[in-house]
Amino acid sequence: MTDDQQIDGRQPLRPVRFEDVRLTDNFWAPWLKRVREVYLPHLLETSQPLIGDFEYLAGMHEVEGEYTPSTDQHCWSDMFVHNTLEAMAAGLALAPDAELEAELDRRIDVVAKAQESDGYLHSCHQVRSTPRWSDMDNHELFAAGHLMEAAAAYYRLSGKHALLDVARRLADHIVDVFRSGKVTFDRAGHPGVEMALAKLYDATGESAYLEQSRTLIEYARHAEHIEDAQGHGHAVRATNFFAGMIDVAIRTADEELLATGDRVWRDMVNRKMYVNGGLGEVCTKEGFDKPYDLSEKKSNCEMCATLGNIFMSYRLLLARPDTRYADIMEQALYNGFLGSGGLVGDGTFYSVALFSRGHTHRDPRIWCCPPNWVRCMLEVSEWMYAVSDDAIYVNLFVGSTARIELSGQEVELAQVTDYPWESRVRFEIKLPQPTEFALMLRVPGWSKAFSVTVNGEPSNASQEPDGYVMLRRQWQTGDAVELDLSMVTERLEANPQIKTSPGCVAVQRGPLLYCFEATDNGGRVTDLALPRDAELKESFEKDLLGGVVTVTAAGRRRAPTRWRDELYRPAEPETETLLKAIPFYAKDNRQAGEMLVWMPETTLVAEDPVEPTAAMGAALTASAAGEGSSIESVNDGLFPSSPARWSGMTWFNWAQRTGTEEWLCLTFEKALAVFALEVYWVNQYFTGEVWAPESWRVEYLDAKENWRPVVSPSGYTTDTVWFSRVNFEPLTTTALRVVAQLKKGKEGGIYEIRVLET
Amino acid sequence: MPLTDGEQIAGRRPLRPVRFEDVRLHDNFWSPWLKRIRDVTLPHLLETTRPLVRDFEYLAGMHQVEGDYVPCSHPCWSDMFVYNTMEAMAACLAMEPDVELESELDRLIDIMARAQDSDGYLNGYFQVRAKPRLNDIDGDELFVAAHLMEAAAAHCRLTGKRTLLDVAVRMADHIVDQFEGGHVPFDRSGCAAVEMGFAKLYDVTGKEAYLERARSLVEYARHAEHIDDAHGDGHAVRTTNLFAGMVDVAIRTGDEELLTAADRAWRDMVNRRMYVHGGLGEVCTLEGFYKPYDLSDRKCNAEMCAALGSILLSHRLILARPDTRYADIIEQALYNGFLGSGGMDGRGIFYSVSIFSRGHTRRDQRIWCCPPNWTRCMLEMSEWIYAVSDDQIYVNLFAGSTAQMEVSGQKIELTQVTDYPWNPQVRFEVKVPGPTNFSLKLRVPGWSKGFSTRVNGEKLNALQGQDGYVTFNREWKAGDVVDLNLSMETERLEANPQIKTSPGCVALRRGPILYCFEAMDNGGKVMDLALPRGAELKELFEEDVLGGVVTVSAAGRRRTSHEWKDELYRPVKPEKETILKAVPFYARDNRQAGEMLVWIPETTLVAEDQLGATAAMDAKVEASVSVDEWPPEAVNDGLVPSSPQRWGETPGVKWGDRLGTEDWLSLAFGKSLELFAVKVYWLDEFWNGTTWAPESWRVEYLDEREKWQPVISPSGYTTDQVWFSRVNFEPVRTKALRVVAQLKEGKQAGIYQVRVLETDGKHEDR
Repeated sequence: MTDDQQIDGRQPLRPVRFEDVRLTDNFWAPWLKRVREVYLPHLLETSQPLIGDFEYLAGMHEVEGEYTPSTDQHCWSDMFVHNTLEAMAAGLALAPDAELEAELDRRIDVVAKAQESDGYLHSCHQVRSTPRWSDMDNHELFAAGHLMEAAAAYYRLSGKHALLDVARRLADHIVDVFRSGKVTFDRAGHPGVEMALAKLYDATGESAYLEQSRTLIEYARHAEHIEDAQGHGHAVRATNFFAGMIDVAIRTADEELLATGDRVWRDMVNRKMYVNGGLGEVCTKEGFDKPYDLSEKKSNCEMCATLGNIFMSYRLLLARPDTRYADIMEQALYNGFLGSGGLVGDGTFYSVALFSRGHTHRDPRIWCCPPNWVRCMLEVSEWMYAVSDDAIYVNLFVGSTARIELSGQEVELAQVTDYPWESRVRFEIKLPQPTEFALMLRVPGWSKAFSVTVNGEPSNASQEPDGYVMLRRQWQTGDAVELDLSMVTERLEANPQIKTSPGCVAVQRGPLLYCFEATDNGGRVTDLALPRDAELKESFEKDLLGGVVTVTAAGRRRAPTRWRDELYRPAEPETETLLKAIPFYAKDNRQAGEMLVWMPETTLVAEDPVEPTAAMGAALTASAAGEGSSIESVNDGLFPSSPARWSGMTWFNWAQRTGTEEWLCLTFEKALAVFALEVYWVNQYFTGEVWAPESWRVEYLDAKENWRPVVSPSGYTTDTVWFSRVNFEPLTTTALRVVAQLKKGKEGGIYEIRVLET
Repeated sequence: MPLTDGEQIAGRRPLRPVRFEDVRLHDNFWSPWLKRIRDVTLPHLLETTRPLVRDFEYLAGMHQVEGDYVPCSHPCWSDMFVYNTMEAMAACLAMEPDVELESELDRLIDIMARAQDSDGYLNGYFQVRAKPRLNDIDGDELFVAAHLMEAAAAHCRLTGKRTLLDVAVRMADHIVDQFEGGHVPFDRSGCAAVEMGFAKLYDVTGKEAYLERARSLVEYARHAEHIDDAHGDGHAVRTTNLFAGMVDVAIRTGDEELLTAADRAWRDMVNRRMYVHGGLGEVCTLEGFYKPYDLSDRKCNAEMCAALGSILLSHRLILARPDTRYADIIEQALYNGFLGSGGMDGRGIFYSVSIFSRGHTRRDQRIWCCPPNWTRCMLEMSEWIYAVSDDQIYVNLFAGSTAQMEVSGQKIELTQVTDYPWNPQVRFEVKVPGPTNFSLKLRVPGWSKGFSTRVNGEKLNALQGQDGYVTFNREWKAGDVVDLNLSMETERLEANPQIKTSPGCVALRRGPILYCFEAMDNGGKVMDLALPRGAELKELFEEDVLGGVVTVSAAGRRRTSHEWKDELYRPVKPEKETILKAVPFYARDNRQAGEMLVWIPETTLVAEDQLGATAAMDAKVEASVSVDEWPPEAVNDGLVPSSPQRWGETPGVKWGDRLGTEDWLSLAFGKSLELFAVKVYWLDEFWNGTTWAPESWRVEYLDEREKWQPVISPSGYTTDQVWFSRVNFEPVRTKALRVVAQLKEGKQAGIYQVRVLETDGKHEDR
């Protein structure tokens, strides 16, 4: 890779490719089987309409009049096609399949024919004749990047260069248009292409590609924060960008770039990462908001952002091996990344959030995540090892057999382990002749202790400053090393600079984060607490979720007593209950329901109950109702994880009106005595059109059928993660209405209204 | 003394109070307090008032002065100190004759009478300074006059002497005249109280003009929906006094609308703005209400006079429409936010009876509005125990005592025998001249989960009425005995989650008594403690502690002190098991100074980190501007106040009186250190102060070339309203750091404390 250039005082490590590491374990191997047998065919199916667009460009369809592209086609959707190509190639590398290979070659042929004579390829623009390279947010470079990735992979795996040729023509075209100054931007918009150009450079040795990549990352050479390279802090873009920066740093021995990549990685990991390794908030759509603003209710954790985190960490590991990078890679891999895919069905989570009210599920539709997740799952074993001239770095533990080139020898290194359920890992070595090298074993940050034996003899090797245990010796066939880590279930606490979810812990066992699902916990989890003194009991349940270690503990459930208009009350009695947690990645594979990761240590900070109120039976009217806005949704009992999580939810809005005063009225079947009202406002603050109102009030219908403001309201605030509640003088009425003064230039909307009776 | 001339309000006649002089305390709780007040506090007050009395003496022509008279330097409201002291003297005399005290009181009254202007005007501060009279609503003249009227009405009732009443009447007439003549440019009282004062004077004199004046002064708040509606600044003392005066007017005029407004404001106060000890008002608003539910213990001001105002308001509402809910609030404020003001040395008074302390604020012996007001009301507290109608006796508080009252035309003696507040059994002994029909109405406190009653030893299944009282309606004979047995358990209180501060905390309460955790009972620190839900609460009466109190202990946890690295998550740190001990809140700060809290977390996760020593403590501090009043050394003395708004508690540093400038404060360590974080505790008098947290700030380090450079990759420069603001950054090796602040436009800025964290992590326990 590096033509013996040095960075950071030494040569960077080389990867050990996934095709050289065969998984033989009970954890990943079944996943990969499922991915090959279920997810890949599903991708082939869902990508058909997009392929149809390429076929049209290739002149393979007779079309009368204007061609109507597929409805799935977006400016970024070529990546779906290209990732699918790479996933097919990876699938073939794992198991030959003539039919799959023929389809892959057919698709490559279509893509090649769809390419313009000058090398340009972007079906969305081509079909629509959109001006090329006019807007960096058009994702032309992003899509091109995924083509280059697929091309480099297939070329390496098969030796076939048909796809590589397409990618080169496109890359050459890109280099040309940038050099000619015809492009008005100096960055990729949505990064991805920086890594891809580096891969194409590796595959072809064409230095123009590396240079183009360097040009695209240059502007962020001195970034101090992960979001510095992208004004809006988009998590996928930022991580892909800095991963590309490290690729360039490695290949150009640019230590300054590497220092930047490492600095922003620490900024991300230490201030902006969710505990599942995920990144990005819903209120910013998919980006970073403020440091430490990590409310699980607003967690977006797009799969591709977690993947971007892995890309960055993995590249940093190559550049300057350190187990801290591997720790983050493992954390993201087993939780935020793996959790995207399901154990049933063929859907993936775009948002691998830490909190759910049970309304969002894995989705089988076209989105950027599914093909990206599939290709990277198939290639997951590539992240296990890395080598230098005389050392093998073991970064992940998986039962597997790897073939590794080292000191001119082919070393076969087998791992025998029940990881991640068991913490013992046995390494078995086979090699043509005795050879000296260092076996560098990662000791994970979560392991409080470890022991190592070599051929049964205890080794007193200790951790190096980089976190690895170094076993350097003359190795020969039959040598066996046993690494025993300390894997106990533990509670994690969050830095108090994160002000949301105070008083909560997350349960972790080794690399696995745990979550509490409603189905295991009496149908609700948001009212639970896990006191500190409760013992955490582990048990391997063979028949559950493909076989997982579950964690149980004696917990508490808060009483479902609503607060009156009062300030203090004797603490409500709790009920004892047995809590059960499952690995986070396995969430939402059974009955739908609430899920949470951050569990309070006291029920005092658990959520209030949300049983049905009188609002449910009320008739609804409004000053205006918009198309597609459902007035019934305000009393259907459904509301999202946070007011900013509008995706997948229905809500009411006032016909897209902005800045006006509007009302929504609830009419009851009979007069009710009421004293409080709660509104769950839609709040797409930061990026959306629908904001919590400037101000609001509650009115009631008096005996003379006039609307009157409620008396002595306790205040009309707007909550960014929950219902906004107002208490008022108890009154008896047949109707209440919420009157909202919408923010200037913004719409207003309501997910849910609750009415409390005296 | 009929209060209401047969007028009705809320469908019935209001109750009459049973005056304190008719209720003799003989218990082990209040009696020792009152004895100490007579023996220590009152003499102390007499001593303290001397400079103020001197101004009156000057006005009375009793001093020969050469040149200009130099008046006492106290503020415009301080005459109330003298009047309250006089009322306290009268109250003492009513309990126990004292010739010397009586003659001193008569002497003071004589001085007042002579100091009074011929037109009736009396105000030492304004007269000595010859300032324009009744011209500025913030001059507090009406407020001061109110306390004169209160003292005069009490003095007349207690002694039958009209000397002070005559002074008060002349002043009251003067005020009425000025208002009626259109000479007063305001239609309300500024700091309210005179409304109550006029009502009392009306009761004594029967002069309608006084009641009319009071009515006129409360009129503007007739439709108030919130406790803070009547005053823009929501000042807690002013608003409670105003609404108490409003109820006085409502009772005397039969004005149900006014009564409804006051009751509504009372509920708004009690249900949305009251601290758990019955206190009111925040420091950030300087004694006022801020937003509903904004009840952070760190920012709790809870001025004694505001808790008193809450009692005055609640007591009047009971008279107007008897309901145990009002009595519950009286009791809550009385035993906690009010009683907690006074100290067991008899001299010190808390102005701010806060529910949180870092141990820097102690009771104070200086002149302030609270000391005399607290003293007179303590002496008169037994007035809040009973209220009567023509044929009913309402028992609102429980205290061992003997009361004389007139009901159903008979003189009735009612004795309470009880160890309240430590025990929930109360025995009532009735003495009547002959068999008499009346209702005895006993309050069942809201905190009592159950109760039982016996009459003459016979168990009786009495039920609570809608108003919360248990009623015994019978023909009473001398020797009849009623036993009330309440359920008094130590319990955990939780706070409404609409209060967003202090999540995950409980407060302990046993009967009327709120508890607190003081450092000296808890290993010297309490901010790092937690009381898990599963821990049993054990009660113990300790005779020798704090005059004899029930203490509560429980198995608790202490967090181990570990400053966070620049990291997001970590395995929970082990906790230490520890025995927690709580004492009654009112008794706090009578021993060794130290931290105190009321709201204790159920998990150490929300407890505070301890403030171990950091390298900042050894650093040499310099500032871009340094003034003697604010020496830079204050920023590394290890002391921080309860919240950034409590600027009186510990010293801080300000860049003089500079506004809106960019200024810096540097720490030179004398050696090279590797640092990764800085914590700054900013002064922040936001809302109404002059010193605000800065517009923005940054941290810089001294590089090898002795140049200041911004730290790299700072995690963000926020400003915290209740704690240190922390920034993490790329570890840097340096000999000096500085904090650079861009001050808010038109505002000063300041720092209480700076902490610096080293990468080698030596920030554990001090």
